[in-house]
Amino acid sequence: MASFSLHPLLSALKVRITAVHQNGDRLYLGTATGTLQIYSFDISSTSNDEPLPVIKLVKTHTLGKKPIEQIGILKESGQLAVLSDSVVTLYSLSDLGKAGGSILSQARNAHAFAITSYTPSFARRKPATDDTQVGEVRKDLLVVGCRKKVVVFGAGKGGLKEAWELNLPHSPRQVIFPSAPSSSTSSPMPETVHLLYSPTSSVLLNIIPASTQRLSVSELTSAPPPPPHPSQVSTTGGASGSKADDKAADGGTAGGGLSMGMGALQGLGGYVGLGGRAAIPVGTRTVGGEVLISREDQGVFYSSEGNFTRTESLQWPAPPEAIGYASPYIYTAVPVVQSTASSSGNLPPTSTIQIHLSPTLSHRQTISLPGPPTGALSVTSMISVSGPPTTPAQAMSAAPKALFISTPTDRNLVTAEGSSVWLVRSGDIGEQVDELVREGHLSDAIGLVEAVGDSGLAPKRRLPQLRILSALQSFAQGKYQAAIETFLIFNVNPALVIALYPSDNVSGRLHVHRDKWMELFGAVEGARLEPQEIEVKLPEDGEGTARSLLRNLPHLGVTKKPSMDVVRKESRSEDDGASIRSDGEKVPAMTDTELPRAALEALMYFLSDRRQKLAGAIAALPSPLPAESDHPPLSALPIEELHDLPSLPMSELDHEHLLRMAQVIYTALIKVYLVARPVLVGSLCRIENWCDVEEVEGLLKAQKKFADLIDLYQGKKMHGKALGMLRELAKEEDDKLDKYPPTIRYLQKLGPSELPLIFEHSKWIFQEQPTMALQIFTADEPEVESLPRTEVMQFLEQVNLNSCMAYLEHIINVLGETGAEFHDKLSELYLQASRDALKTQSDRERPAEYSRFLDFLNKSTSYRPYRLLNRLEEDQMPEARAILVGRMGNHEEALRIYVFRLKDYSAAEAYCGRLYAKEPDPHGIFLLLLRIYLLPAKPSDPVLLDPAISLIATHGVRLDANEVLALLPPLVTMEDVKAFFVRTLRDSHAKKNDHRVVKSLVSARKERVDRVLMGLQIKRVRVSDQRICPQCHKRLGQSAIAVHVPRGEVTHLHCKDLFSAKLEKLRG
Amino acid sequence: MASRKKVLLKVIILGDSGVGKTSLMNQYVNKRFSNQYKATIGADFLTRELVVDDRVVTMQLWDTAGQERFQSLGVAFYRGADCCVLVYDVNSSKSFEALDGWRDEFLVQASPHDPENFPFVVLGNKIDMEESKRMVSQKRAMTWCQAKGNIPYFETSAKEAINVEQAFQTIAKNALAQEAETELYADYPDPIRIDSENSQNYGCNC
Repeated sequence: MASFSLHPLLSALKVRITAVHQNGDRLYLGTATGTLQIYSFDISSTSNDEPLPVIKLVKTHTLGKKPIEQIGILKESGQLAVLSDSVVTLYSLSDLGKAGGSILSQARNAHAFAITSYTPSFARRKPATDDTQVGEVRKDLLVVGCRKKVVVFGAGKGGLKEAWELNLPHSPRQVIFPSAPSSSTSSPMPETVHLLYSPTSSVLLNIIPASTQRLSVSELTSAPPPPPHPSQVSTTGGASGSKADDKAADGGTAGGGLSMGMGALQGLGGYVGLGGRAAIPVGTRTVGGEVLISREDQGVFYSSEGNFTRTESLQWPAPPEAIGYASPYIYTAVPVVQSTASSSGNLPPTSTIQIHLSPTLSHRQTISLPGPPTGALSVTSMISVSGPPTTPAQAMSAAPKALFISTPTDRNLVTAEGSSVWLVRSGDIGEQVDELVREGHLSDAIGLVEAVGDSGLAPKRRLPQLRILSALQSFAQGKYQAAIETFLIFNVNPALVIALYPSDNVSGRLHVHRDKWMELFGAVEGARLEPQEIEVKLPEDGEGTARSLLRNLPHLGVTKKPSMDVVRKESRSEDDGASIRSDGEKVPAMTDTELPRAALEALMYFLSDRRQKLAGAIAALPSPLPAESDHPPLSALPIEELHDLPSLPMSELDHEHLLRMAQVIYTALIKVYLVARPVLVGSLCRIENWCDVEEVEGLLKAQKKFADLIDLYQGKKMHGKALGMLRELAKEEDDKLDKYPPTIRYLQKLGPSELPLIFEHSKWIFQEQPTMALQIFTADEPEVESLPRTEVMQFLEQVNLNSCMAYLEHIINVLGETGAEFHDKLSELYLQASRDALKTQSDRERPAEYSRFLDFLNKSTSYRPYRLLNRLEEDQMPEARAILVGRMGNHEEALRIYVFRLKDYSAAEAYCGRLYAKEPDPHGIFLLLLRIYLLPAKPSDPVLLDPAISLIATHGVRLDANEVLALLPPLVTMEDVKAFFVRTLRDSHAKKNDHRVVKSLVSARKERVDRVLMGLQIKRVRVSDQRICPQCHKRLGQSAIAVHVPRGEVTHLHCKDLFSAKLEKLRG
Repeated sequence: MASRKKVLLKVIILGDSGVGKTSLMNQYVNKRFSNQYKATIGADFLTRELVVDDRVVTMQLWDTAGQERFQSLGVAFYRGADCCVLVYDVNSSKSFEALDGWRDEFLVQASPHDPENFPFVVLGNKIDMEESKRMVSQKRAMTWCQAKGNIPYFETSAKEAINVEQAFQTIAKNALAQEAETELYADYPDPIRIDSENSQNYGCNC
């Protein structure tokens, strides 16, 4: 256990000890008979196994006959100050006992003194080179409280020999120096000293050497002391001072419990013989210039300016007999009256040592001293043990903290046994922290660690962890936002925070029951979420054991029984039922079914912040986050792994941790939105996210958020699922404008990488609504246009020929595709369609499909005619055949088809006209037609004179007249060929005239050019020895030159370009 | 609610990098424009006082970094915003298409109490550039704004100070309305009962 323990250090000394002082390894005890006992005292050797320091009597000096009331050491001058017989005597430490002491005659009628050492101001101004040098100039300061005056030694330049006095209205009974402010490294002379007159009054003594007055007195603040700390109220059973009086008057009626207070004590005064001593006020210095002074049964904290330093006071069950302070605890010796039903209330008070945690004033423990067989014990001279400087880790372990003396009040016992010296030992600080955490007193744990510093503690006991646990408690009490802010500061693993929320809708698998929260957040086992109420309860049988212990005391040195030589009382009560709850109001707590909105808002706040930090951390990564698909899904991970994610700033996490963190955060965020902000679910699904799909898809489906779920699938590239869902949804739609477009739009966004998926999921639409389905491949979207056309064509060919045709028309006509395979495929499809149309349509009208086919064959140049020709049956579609053979260069064949098979002479002429327009008379295409007309290849073919004559009549000029004449059969009337001759002759005349004009123009031009040449040739420039190139300013000499028009500047040939450019520029 | 206390409106300006968020703000607050481009780092704010519906309000304009690498502002940044201004460059299709993402991002990060009615304003900036460079038609932008719940739309030029004043006046007006709205939500005493049937009501029942 990590609690405090009490050890008898020296017991039954057979003499009354009246003063104690410890300095390093020496322990000085002053007796009532004026003897000074010096013991060796080595606390550095103590450990957990050996809890008691080795103590040995070294020397005894008899200094006088009167009781030694106080002992002190003047460290700097090496002197021992002893207060006895109302005077302070200084003895040299080195030869104690040989030489007599020097009596401080100025301080007669002394009641108390206090000693400290300081660095004089002149010494502090010099830069201290090392510690020893500073140590050399330290000086002692001794303040002695005498009857109605105070004397200060050592403040002036004359050292201890110089004494300043100040008369006072009362006699200081106790002198306390405030502790040095923690900020300063050197210790200046304290400017104020607390002088305690009585348990109810004290003043501040100001020491100002520079002023003329030097010493002055100022009052403490007159405001009423702050109220007692609430936990102490419960310590006293809820009784304030006046109530305690009532209780005492009631006698023993408060059965079993504790009754204590002023009245009780005063009533006992005569019996226990405390009357004289009770008037001595007690107090102690704490830290940072603060002083704790007892005001009857209250401990009030004052600053060195005389103001209250705290808003709360310390409350004891009775006025304390002695107070000691060893950071961070306050030790107080308090006589407690135990009144039980059996005894009539006249039992002697039990001496107890009460231990309070200084930063929070919470009561930690009460240890009862074993009472003597008769009478009571009076405790005096509580001093804190100052050990050698230790490392932070050592400072945390168990160590002796305070010493005090107990003396029986019974006269016979005093003479028989005498006083005992006790040692209070603190437990291991770390274990105390654990203990406080276990009790749920996190603020006390924080105060404790703040006071001692957390450098020597295990990480689990350090401040950040304690603050997190404290925030967890606030969370449990319904202070969600405050708790969340703390979680953010310490980067608490989001999985842990989420675990605090109910499982059905927010945390899911992460959920942890309220009872396990503390454990989850890394508190010690058995830590309580709600702080435990403390109640002081002295065990009924305590006296018995204590008595037997006391009887054993004299033999302790011989019989070492660790279990017996430690007196320890558990102050904590076992039953919670009896404890009084101080917090009356109940905050609406979070249960599995009820989720306060504030809790949700706080979680959203938390997750939003984490999300931002996460984004920053991911952006700062040297390489991108691994794909989610490379890792097992979040839902497959054991919960412990998520709870164990490190609580570190996002920027310090590695890739995998970041990914997991992201998944946890986003998954929770979407769940919170589903509960608190359903509209935002869509937004979250659309932006880049790390939601774990498996965990949220069920929830989204349950809330019918299909569109958002599809968005989520899309973001996660889980297109198969999204499309399956779209199809399911489509089944319920009747309107075709609601049924198909969602899927179509989805497919349009997929792009080439998801081609098989597009094919798979577009089939059903093609089957049901081919026209709309075609939009999947024809929409004006970059993703759609980048789809590989060959694959799409092949797919469509299998699914729906009409769609395939429409697709090919789209890519050829709209997008200008020239690939032969597409043109081939389209012509084949057209051919097929035409064939089908021809079969069904028997009338002579040419079906539209066939016209379209022919149109395409004529227009397109990208198809491969021979492939198509193979597919064409001999006797089918002569028009198409004609185009195809013609396309292959076999014009004669083409024309023959027109002429003989189709007898469509205008088509034949139109064919020739098209060809002629492209490449004028390449092979005499019209002549070829004429030959076909007039020179039948087979005897069976007729001579087609009429078309031949109309041909030469219309296209005569495109025919070689001689050839035509040679071809014409002998018996043709002039009438028939008149038109031909007229045209041909006119044409030849026109040509002749044309040539003449051209000839004249050319010769005219030649003459002009000749004239210009002549003009140029007669131009001359003179290149003399003196002529200089205007470009490079060198002589032209014999170099090649260039002459510039129109002014005739002459430059070197190689300067020509530069000079021309210059001229150009000049002329603009 | 009738208190005439000083009103501070927090307005967040979002949009792709280089669309002119900082320029718009500078034009509105300082009446200055610079052709120099300097990427905003983190976030910065300018304030201007103006009169809306006879009330003097202080508008705090939060300029943000559009560049991805600067985007990790704390949660406090988006919280408590009264209006969100989405800016795009009419000469960049990409910046327009990104509006959806910015809107979603804002909503998720700020999680306003009533996301459906949170005021947004869309600004199509850089209309001073020649018509041939324009990539996003007014019609396309208006259609988008309409689909997102009739978001007010303005075509602006920070360079030529076209429509800037009018746009920010509307922003302030809508922000003020939102500010009044949020006060209604100041406390949320009612816990959400998730076991009961009405939890379904959060979803869309249409």
